[in-house]
Amino acid sequence: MKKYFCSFRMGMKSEYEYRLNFIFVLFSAFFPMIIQTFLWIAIFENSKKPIVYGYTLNQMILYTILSQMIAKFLKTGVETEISTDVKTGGLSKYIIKPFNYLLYKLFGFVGKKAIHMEIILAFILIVLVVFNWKVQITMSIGRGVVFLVAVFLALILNFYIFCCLSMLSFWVTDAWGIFFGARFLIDMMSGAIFPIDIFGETIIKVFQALPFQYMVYFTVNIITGKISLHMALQGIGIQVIWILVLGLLTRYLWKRGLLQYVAVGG
Amino acid sequence: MNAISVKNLNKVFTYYEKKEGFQHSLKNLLVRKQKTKEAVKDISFDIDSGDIVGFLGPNGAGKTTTLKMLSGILYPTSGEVQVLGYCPWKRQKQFKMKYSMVLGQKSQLWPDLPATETFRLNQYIYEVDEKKCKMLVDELTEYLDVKHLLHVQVRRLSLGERMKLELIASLIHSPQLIFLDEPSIGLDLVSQQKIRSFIRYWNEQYKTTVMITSHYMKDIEDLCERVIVINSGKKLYDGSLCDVNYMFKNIKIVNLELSDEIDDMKLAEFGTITKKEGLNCTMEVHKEDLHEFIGYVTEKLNIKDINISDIPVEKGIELLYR
Repeated sequence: MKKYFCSFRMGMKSEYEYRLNFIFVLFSAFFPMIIQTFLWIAIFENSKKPIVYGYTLNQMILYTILSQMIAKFLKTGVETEISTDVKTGGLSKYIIKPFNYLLYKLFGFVGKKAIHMEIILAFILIVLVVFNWKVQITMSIGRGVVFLVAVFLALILNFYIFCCLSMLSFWVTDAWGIFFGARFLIDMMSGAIFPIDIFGETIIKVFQALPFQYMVYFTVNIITGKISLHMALQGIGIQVIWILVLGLLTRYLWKRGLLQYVAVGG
Repeated sequence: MNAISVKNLNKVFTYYEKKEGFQHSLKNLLVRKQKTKEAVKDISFDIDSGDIVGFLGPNGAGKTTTLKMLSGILYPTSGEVQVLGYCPWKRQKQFKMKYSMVLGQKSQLWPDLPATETFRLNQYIYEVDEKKCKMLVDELTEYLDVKHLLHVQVRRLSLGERMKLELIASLIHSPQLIFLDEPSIGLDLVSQQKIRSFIRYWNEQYKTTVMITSHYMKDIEDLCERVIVINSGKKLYDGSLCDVNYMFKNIKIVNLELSDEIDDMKLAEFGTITKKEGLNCTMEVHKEDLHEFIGYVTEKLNIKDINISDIPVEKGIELLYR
């Protein structure tokens, strides 16, 4: 187990070397936030109703900001790392070592995110304080703890979703196009762009059967108080189940993929 | 005891050919002709533990492919391999703990962090005792003269500096067997020398089996008593380095120093002229023609000096490569 904590620490340290980068990533999220905010203002003005899809204007803006930030925090990039390793033969140096490559990647990833965590929490706190006088937010310590757990699980869930996807690179030499499309779809289905509520009942039902909404939509709803604590705990249970399912699937694909691996170069 | 034993090893790759030009790219989208390449053909050999064996061959001969199969990175198409008593591609943990591989062209060090971090990672991965690891790293950095580089971000290091640290990182668990794939690639002469003497020292100290590939003849001459030469996937030679030329024992090198100019055509009747500069001439002469040739030279030509020798080792290997 020690080796994976070492990977965690190294992920943390190497990300710390480039900590400013993440702040810029967050700032880059600022522009879509503004565009969407204006879009929602226009929609609310035209609909002449104070509540659209179950959100007031202020709630909708709060959702937009929080979802963008959490989505940026969860972002992995692990799919490009793994597929580059497979394509260029860099994977060779890992599979001769007595450890589990996927766990090693997971811990390195969580280590990286540990650095982002502080930055993102500070931002979220500021946003909540600023919005508190506009939107009624039911905040409690219990809810805060549940939120932290949910974000952590969302992180692991996101890792396994992309890890699973990256296993494709064993069969498709350059899966970049697939990743690009998938990233957009997953963003949409996870609620990073709009709240899931706007899609209509049938599609919501479909989304509920998928793991994606448990990353952004679910975690944002915990902190804005849109769902009850009881439902939040239930959601955490579903997150755990999805992590197990995807983890096992990834492992299976990994084993099959290694039979295909040709270790080019060198 | 055999550290490595390989029997009838084969590896076939399938790939798609793509000709130059956009037209062919489009064609490839519709129909792709699958081709196969036999990278390794029916190779067998044994290596005793504690030996340093050179594994030679021209580019694309199948050296690295063989090493990859021996280290369990690739599955062979057919054949039997036992490395340290394990089947490498089953990738058992106990097996992985016992060997190490240095790929000259693939770095295992984390580029964004100093090398010590990767050493620590390897220490944990291979479950090496903290104290033992520290002593080893101290010893190795001293020997390779890289102590001052330990705390520098790896991506800022030069190729040679990185290579030395790379070598240390792969020795942290004191492996019984090391595969070195072109460890001296891109290094200056002093560094090459250092790495060579280091490998020698390590081998003597720990009785480690070493299998090394390199394109620098000096590496091989200094380190290996035995070499295995392969070309286009087939084993051509397996034996001691100084006997490589034995395969070409029928050819002698004759060095002549003439006192008069002579027509090349006349000399060429007896063998091939490999070099001619003014009155100095080097020829390859078949053993059977030697007697006749010497007779001709001593009777008909005015020579200042004659020198007959065997083919040098380097030349022997070059001939094998062809």
